[in-house]
Amino acid sequence: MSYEIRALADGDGCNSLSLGDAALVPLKTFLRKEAKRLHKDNLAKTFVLVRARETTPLAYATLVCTHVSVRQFGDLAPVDGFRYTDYPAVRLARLAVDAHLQGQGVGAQLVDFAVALTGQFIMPHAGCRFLVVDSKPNAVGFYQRKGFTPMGASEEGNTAFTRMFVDLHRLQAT
Amino acid sequence: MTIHSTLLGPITLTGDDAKSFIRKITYGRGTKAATESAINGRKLVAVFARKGAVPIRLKAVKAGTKKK
Repeated sequence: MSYEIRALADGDGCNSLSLGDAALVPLKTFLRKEAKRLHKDNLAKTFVLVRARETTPLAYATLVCTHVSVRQFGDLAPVDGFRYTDYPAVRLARLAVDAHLQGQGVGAQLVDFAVALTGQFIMPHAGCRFLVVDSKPNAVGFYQRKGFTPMGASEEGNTAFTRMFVDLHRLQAT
Repeated sequence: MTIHSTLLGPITLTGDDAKSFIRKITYGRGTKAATESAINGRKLVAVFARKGAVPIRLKAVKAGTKKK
């Protein structure tokens, strides 16, 4: 069976994703209720894994422009002449893989795709230094194996995350 | 320090997190893992840019492997 990654399409049926964990319901709800509208309005772009030429997303990743706002000053001395307080970045805002495909490298391929898409098509043309993700605690190891570095803690609703980043600038010449 | 996050909101770093972040981006280097991710990703994105979709090969599931 062959699969492909492509952009979310208007005709995709987004109700079938099964993530196998009640804690992941918001990811399923996002795909079902918000992803298409945000994609169409150019607020967040979603890329899906489907069986070739089919229209049922079995995994997805959503990217959104953001910025990293650094508030290091106050009682802390500036580090090494650091001048900027805001850095343009892209956030890997959502990533989910259907339970039946988990453990088969789908999430890793979507992350690789997001790293390269941002590094190849956004950073060179708009200025974008980092790819950032808010990782659930049990996914921190996964993102570290993909080269992400922890940068702090965050929370969305009642869920705690480890905020992580890849410095795309360092990957340019590789 | 824990910062509240929203889908379309900014990412704010304060205190020690901010200081650590600045050191990492000033002195850090691309890790081997990040480099490998970027190299694989570029192959995917090159096909995606030409065709609008990129074929993905899934890893075989080992017998007896429990799916998450």
